[in-house]
Amino acid sequence: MLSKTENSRYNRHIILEEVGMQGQLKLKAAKVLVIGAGGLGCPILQYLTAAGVGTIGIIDFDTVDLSNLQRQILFTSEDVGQNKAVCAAQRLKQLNDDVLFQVYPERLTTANALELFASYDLVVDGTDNFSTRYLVNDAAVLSEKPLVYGSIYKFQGQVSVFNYKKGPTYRCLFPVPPKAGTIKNCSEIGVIGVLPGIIGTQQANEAIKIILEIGKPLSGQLLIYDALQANYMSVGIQRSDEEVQKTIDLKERFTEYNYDLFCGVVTEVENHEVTASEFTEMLNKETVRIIDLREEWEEPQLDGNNVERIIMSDLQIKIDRFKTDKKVVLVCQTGARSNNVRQLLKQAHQLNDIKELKGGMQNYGN
Amino acid sequence: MILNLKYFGRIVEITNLTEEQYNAGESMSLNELRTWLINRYTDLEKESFQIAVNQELKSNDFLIKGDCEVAILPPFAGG
Repeated sequence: MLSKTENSRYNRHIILEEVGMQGQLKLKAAKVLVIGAGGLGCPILQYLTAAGVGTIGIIDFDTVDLSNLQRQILFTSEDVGQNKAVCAAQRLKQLNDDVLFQVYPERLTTANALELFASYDLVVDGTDNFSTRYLVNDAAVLSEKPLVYGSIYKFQGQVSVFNYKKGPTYRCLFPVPPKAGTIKNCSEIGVIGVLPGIIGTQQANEAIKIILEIGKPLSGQLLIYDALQANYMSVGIQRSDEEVQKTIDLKERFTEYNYDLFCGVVTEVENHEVTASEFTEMLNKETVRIIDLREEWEEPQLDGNNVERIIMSDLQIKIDRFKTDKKVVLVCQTGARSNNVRQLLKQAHQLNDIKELKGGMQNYGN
Repeated sequence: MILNLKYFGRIVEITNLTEEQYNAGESMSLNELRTWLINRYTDLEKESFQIAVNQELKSNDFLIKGDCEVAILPPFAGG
């Protein structure tokens, strides 16, 4: 049942024959996950919220930048520097407080995608890179959720619905990712601000149609919009069982699958982390130097014949101590400092073989 | 047969054209069309694109046998 205020709020839906009270209740019961609260994510989220979708998940690790405001319409100048998912949810609550917002201020990864997708009926893709798009597609196929796809380039946009009632998937349309180094994103090439508004709004429309089970979802069709010519073209796409099978075959090793490697973003798996059991083996070993980056007061203490301490503020003056023939393993409390120092040593000092304790001392020995 | 070629996205930056006509003889497979395109615009070799014939996406072994509209479609990543 809808409350009296809900009846008023959604009146223009309810009086539509195709929606009605039943349709509005379907929207209220629906759970939609929106990946990315950027150019596409903003209009998608705004319309889904206004429409009264009951539960909306928002995942975005990124923060608002001044250069986003030209197209990411949920944010204001005051939001610069804040997490996009958090910020979007705050703004959307002002629009419609009936909606339950689940906020995930983190990156979508193979480690969290399947669990996350399982809690939703429908996924909407507003990401901005190929690695995540293939990840989103595969996670949608593996968790059997329909996926509303949208993407943009300068003045053109693409929209489709994937994995809907055994329809085609993203891999059926684009089986091979573009070669590494050939692709840039909006921050490098520019995009007309209104374009993600148009494409994202179409994605919201497809999501709402799927929830309401009305009309004909854009499954098996790729809609291409050209904002300069003001025209649309629709291209038929077929499901390829062979391509879908490639995703299904990933099921057992999905969490280990490297989409950056698949898309050529990285050329090799960087194996710079040392697990807790490997670390135990390395303690007191003469061929290894373990460098504790923590302050003296940080617990638990780390004891061993081959453990030495270099605190962050001494880093620059003691930089030569990292240059050694022995194997170096960096340790800190959570893995954050060790990661920063490893990157610095790699980039500024060409020390490429330095390892770090995975998850830091907080994960070790517990 | 006349092919009306339409270019999209990044492809336009290589061809410097949004569309052009090509008189392709009696028939041509999409593989052959790909080779022709790459010979004409060498930078296309690095690009990933799909080909739609008369608004239907087709695989590389598809044979074009008459006048048609051919869309050269790269994936877009932006969002």
